[in-house]
Amino acid sequence: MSGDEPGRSYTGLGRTNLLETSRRRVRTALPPRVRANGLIRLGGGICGVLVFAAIVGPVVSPYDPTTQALEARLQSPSLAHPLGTDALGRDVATRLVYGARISLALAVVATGLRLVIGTTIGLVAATGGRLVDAVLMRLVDVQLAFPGLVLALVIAGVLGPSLRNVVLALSLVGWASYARIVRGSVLSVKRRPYVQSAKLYGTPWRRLVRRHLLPTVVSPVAVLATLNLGTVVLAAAGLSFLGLGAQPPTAEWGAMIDDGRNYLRSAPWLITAPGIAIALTVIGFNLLGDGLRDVLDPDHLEDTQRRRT
Amino acid sequence: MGPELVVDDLRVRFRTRSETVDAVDGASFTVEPGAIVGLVGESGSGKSVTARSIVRLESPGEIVDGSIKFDGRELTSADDRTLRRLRGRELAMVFQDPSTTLNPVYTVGEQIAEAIRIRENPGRQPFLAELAAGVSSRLRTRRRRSEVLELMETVGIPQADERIDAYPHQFSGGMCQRVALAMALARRPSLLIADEPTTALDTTTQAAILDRLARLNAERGMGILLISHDLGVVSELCDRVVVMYDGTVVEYGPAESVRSDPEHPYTKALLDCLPHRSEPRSRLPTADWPPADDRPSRSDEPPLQGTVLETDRTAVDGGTTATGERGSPRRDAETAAPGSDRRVDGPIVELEDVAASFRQSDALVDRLLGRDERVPAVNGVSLSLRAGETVGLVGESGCGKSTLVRLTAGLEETTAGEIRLRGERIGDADSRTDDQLADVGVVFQNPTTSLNPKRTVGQTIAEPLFEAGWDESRREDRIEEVLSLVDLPAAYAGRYPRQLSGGQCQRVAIARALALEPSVVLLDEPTAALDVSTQARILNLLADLQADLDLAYLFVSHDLAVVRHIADRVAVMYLGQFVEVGPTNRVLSAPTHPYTQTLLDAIPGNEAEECRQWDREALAGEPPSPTSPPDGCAFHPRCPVASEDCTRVEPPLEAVDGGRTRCLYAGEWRSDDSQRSAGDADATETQLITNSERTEPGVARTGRDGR
Amino acid sequence: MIRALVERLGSLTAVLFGVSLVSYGFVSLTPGDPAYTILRAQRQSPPSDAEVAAFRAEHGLDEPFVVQYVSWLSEALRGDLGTSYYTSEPVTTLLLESLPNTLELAVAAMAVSLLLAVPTGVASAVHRDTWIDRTSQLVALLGVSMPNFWLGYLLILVCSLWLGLTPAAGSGTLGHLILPAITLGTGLAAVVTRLVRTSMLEVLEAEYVRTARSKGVRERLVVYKHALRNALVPVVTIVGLQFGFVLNGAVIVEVVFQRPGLGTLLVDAVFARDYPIVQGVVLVTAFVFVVTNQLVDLAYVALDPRVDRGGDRA
Repeated sequence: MSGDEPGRSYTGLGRTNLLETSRRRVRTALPPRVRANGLIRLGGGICGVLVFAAIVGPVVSPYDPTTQALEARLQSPSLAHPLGTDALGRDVATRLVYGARISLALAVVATGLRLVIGTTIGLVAATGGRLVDAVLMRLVDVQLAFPGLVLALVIAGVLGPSLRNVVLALSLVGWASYARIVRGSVLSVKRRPYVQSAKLYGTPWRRLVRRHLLPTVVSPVAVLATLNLGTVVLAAAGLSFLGLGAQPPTAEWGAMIDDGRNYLRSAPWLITAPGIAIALTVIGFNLLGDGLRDVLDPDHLEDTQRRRT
Repeated sequence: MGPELVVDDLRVRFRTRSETVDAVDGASFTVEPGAIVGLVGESGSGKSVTARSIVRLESPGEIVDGSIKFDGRELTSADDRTLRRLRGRELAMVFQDPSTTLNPVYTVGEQIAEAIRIRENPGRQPFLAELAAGVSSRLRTRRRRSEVLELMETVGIPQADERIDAYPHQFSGGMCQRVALAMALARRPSLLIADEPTTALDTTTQAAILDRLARLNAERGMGILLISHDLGVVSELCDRVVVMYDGTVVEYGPAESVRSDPEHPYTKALLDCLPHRSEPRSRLPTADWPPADDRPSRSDEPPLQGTVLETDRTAVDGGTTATGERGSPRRDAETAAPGSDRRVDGPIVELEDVAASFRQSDALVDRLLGRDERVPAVNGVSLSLRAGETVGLVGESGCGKSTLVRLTAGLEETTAGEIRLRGERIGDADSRTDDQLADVGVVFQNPTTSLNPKRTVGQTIAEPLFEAGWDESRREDRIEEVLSLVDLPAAYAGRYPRQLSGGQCQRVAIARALALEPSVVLLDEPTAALDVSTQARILNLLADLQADLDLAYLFVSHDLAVVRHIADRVAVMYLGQFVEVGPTNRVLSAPTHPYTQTLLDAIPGNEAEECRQWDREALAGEPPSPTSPPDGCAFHPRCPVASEDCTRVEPPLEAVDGGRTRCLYAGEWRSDDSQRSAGDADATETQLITNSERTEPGVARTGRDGR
Repeated sequence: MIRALVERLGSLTAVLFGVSLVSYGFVSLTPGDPAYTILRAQRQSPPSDAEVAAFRAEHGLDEPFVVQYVSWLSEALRGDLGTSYYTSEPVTTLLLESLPNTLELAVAAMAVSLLLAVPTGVASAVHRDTWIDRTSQLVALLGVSMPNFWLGYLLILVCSLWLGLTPAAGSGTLGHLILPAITLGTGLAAVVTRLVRTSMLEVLEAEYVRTARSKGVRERLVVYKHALRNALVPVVTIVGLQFGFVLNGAVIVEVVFQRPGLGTLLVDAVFARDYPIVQGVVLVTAFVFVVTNQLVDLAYVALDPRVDRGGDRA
C-alpha cells in the first residue's frame, strides 16, 4: 500500500532533484552517456567488421573453403595464405570468413527464437491467471534446472548432428531467462499507479499490455538478447567442437578448432585463428550489450543516477 | 561547554558527466556550544549537502571553497585520521531514512557496540577482530552488553534486552531511527547532526523522537544541528534557525524572531504557505519564489526565470495575500460546472459497512490446503460524500486509509458491505459501466510513478478520453482545456514526465483525473511528496477546481494541518476502522476520541491550545498488528485514558457532539483527564479553553456543515 | 518455518519430476528407431527384424512411452538407472565412477574463480575508474569471451608442450587438475568479477555505508565489514546459478584434457546412442545442479538475515 508511507517519497524526490534543479548550471563539453555510446560504438564497430567480413570475405577470397589441396597442407602464414593452411591444405582465412557467416546467422536465429518463446511465455505468465502463472513458472524452473549446454548437447546429439539441430537445441534451452525478465518487469509495472489509473478508465487488457506493459519490457529484453548473441556463438562453437554441430567439411569455427587440435605443436595457427575470431565476436556482442544497457535499461540508469547524487 | 561549529562561506560542487552544479554556494552559520540550530530549506536548497560536508561525507561532491571549523580545528583540510577521531568521538550524524541507514546484515546491538569500541579507541580498530565481531551475532562481554542496553534504553527502545540481538528489518522505522540515535549517542558527541531524522516517520513517532532530542540536549548539553524541510519541526525545537535557498543562506537568526518576523521574503513566503498557519479553506499565499521542485527539471531548455513564472501563473495572478478570493476571473465566467447535468441531491458516493481483507499468504501449500487466513484491512466503514464537499481521511501508516481509496476506486474488492455511486451499488473497476468509471477520478501519492514515463503529457491525458470513445479533435480540445484547468501551458502536452517537476507531474495527474468530468475525485496523499510551497499551490488548485466544478473530494492525508485546511468533514482511522468522524473544526479542536487527540498532540510546532495534552513519548507506540487485534477497544494499548472496561468491551461508533466516535468514554475522558492531572496548570487551562469552544458548535463554518 | 520447508520441498519435487520427464522424454521421443541404429552399429551390418524386435523387448522399448517412463522412474527412485546398451554395465555404477572426477574439477574451478574474482571485483569497485578498474574489466571481458576449449588448448600448448610444466591430459594427480581447473575457472572468474564489482559499487553508495563512515570506522573495515557482506548476497545467488555454467564447461574441458568424468561419459554415450547412459547423466547433472542451488539458498539465508524464512514472497 504505497500511499501509507508519509513523507518517504518526499525524500526520494528531494534527492533526485537535488542536483538537477540548481539554476546555476555550468555547461560542460561532454554530452551525457558518452561512455555508453563509446561502448556501443566499439562493440558495434567490431560486429560491423565481422558482418562485413562475412559478406564480402567469401566473394573476395580466391580459395574455396572446402576444396582440398593436399600439396599445400599445414603451411604456416604467408602472403598467399595470410593465416596459413590446414591439414587438408585449405586456406584458414577463407574458412574463417565462411565460418563467420555460419556463426552470425546461427546466433541471430537462435537468439531470435529464444526471445520469441521466452517473451511470450513471460507475458502470458504475468498477465494470465494465477494457475497459468504457476504452471509456466514451474516450466521455467525445469528449464533452468538443466545446465544449458548439457541439455543442448543431448538434444543435438539425439536429433542427429547438424547445424539446424544446433539452432533448435540452443533455442530450446535458453528461453527461460527471457520469460523471467519479462514476467518480472511486467509484474512490477502492473503495480505502478499509472497502470492502475489506466484500469480505472476502463482500458481493455490488450491495450494495457501494448501501451504500458510491453514498452517497459523492450529495453531489458533488447539488452539480454544482445548479450545472448555472444553466448550462443560460444555454445554453438562448443557443440561443433564436440562434433555435434557443423559436419565436415563445413567451415565452422568450433569445428576448425577441433580439426586443428591434432596439430597443436606443429601448426598452432590452426586453433589460434578461429579462437580469436570467436572471442572477438563475443567481445563485440558483449560491448554492444553493455553499452545498450547503459543507455536503455531504466533500472541501470536509475542506478547510475543514484551514484551521481 | 562544548566546542563550537563555524561554517564560513562554504561552497560544494558536484560534477556529473554533463554538468557542474554548485549545490552549496556560500553558506555561513554558527552552531554555538549546546545550542539547537535548525537548517531549513526545500528540496534542492543544499541543506543536506551542507550537513554532510560538516562530517566530510560530501562525496561525490567536493568542497571548493570556504571553511568549516569545529572546536577551532579546520575540517576542510583535516586528514583521514583526524576525521575518524572526530566522527568517532565528537561529531555524530543521524541520517534521513532509518530503513536504509542501518546495516541490514548485522544486529543492532553489534552496530551500537561498534560505535562504542570506536569511541574508546578510534585509532586502533583491529581488522580481523572487527570482522569476527560482525560474524558472531551475540555481544561477547557482559559489560559491553550492558553498555549497549543502557544506550537503547536512553533512546527509548522498550524491551531492549530482547531486541539487542535483533536485525534492523525486525524494527519499525521509528525504532530504527532510535537505534541510529543510540549509535550516535554511543560516541558521546558534543554535536549531533540530524539530517531530516523524522521525515520518513509517522507524526506520532516524529513527535516522540523530537521530544527525545530536546531532552538529550537539555540533559547532556549536546549541541544539535537539525536539518529539515519542515518549519514546524524546526521552530518547535530550535534556538536558532538557518534558512537556505538555492545553495545560499538567506536568513539566520533566533527561531522566535525568524518565525514571527522573518526578514527575507523567501522565509516569509515559506512560513505563509504552511497550511496550519492559515485560516481553513482560505487561499494559501504562494509567493513567486519558485520552489526547487516546481521548476521544470532536466528540461531540454535551461530553466529560465521566465518559464518558471509562466508555469506559476496562479501564484502571480492569485497574489500573495491570504484572501479567499479567486485571482483569475477568467475561469469563473467560462466554466459552469460541467457535471451539473448529472447532479443529484443525495450523496454521490456512499459506503455502507464496507470491509476488505487480504489473503495473508499466497503460498501454494496454503492454497492447496484450502487455508485462507485473511488480514482485515478495512472493517465496517460507513461514509457518504456529497457534491462540493471534502472529506478528509487521516490516520497512521497501515491504518487502511489507502485501502479505502482503492476500494472506492474499484482497485480492490470489498469483502462485505456495499459502495454506492449515485444510489447504485458498484463493484470493482471491471464491473463498472463507462459512466460510473468516468464519474470517479483518482490521484495517487507519488506524482512520478503515476505517469507512464514513456508517454507524453498529452498522450497520458488522452487515454481516458480515448477509452471513452472521444474522437481525436475532441480529445485535443479537451486536453488543452484540462491543462488550462490545472494551470499548465498547452505546450506541455508534448512533454514527457521526466521534463516536469514533481508539482507539475501532480498537476498532470489531476488533469487526467478530471478529463472525463468526474463528480468525485479520490486524492491519496496528493501533496505528501511535494515541498511545502508546491503543496500550497496544489491545495489552492484543488480548492479552485472544487469551487468551479462542484467536485466531491475524498482527501487522504497523514498531515492534520493539510486536512484541517481543506476538509469540511474529517474521518480518523485506526486499524481499519473509523474511530471518529465529524465536522473538521470540531474534531480537530475538541476531539472526542483520545486517538485524535494523540494525532493533534503530535503536530510539530503546533502550539495551538488544543495540543499538548499528553506526554508524546508515551503515545508513539506502534499500532497493533491487524492479524491479532487487541480485545476490546483497538486503541486501548496506547490509550492514556483506557480503563479496565476498554480491554474487554469493543466500543460502537456512537453519535457524539455533531459527529460519531468509537470510544467508551467519548468526550468524557477530556474532563476525567484534566482532573487526573489537576496539578498541571497548563493542562487545566487547556481544558477550560477547549471546553468553552465546544459550547459553540459550528464556529466559522459557513453553511457547509449543514448539508 | 516448517511450512516454508514443506513449500520448498513441494516445489523441488515438482521441478525434479519435470527434470526426469525431460531427461527421459527427449531421448525416447527422438525420430528413428534406437534399436535398429544400435544393432546396426554393433554388428556393422543391418540387423534382421527379429533381432530388432528381440532388442526392443529386452530393453522394454516396445511398451508405450508412459509405461516405459513410469517403470524407468520407479527403478530410478530405487537407484537403478538401467544398463548400457553396449556393455550391459549398470548405468549407476558408471555414474558413480565418473561423478567424483567431475565434481573434483567443478569444485576446483569454483575455488580458483572465487579466489581470483572476489578480491579483483572489490578492488575494481573501490578504485573505480582507475587503471586497476579498467585493467580488471578488460581482463574480465576477455575471460567471458574466450571459448574455454580454445583456452584449454592454448594452456596445453604453452604449459605442457612448450614449458613442460604440467601433464597435458589424463587425471589422477594434482598436476592433472591444475590446467583443467584454470581453464574452467577463467570464465566463471570473469563473470563473478563483474558481478562483485557491480554489487560493490551499489553497496558502497548505500546509506548504511555512509553511516559506517560517519561513525569513524576506518576505510578498510567499511569496505570489508560493512560493504562486502552485503555485496555478496546477490553474488551468492548468481554463483549458484553459475554452477550450471561450470557443469557445462566441465563437459567440454573433460574432452579437451581427456579426463574421465560425466562429460566424456555423456559425449561418448551421445555418439553411441547409448540412451540409458545419456538419460542417467542428464538426470544426475540436473539433480546436482538443483541440489546445489538449494544449498546456495541456505547460504543466502545465513548471509542475509532479511530473507524471510517463511516461503517465497510474492
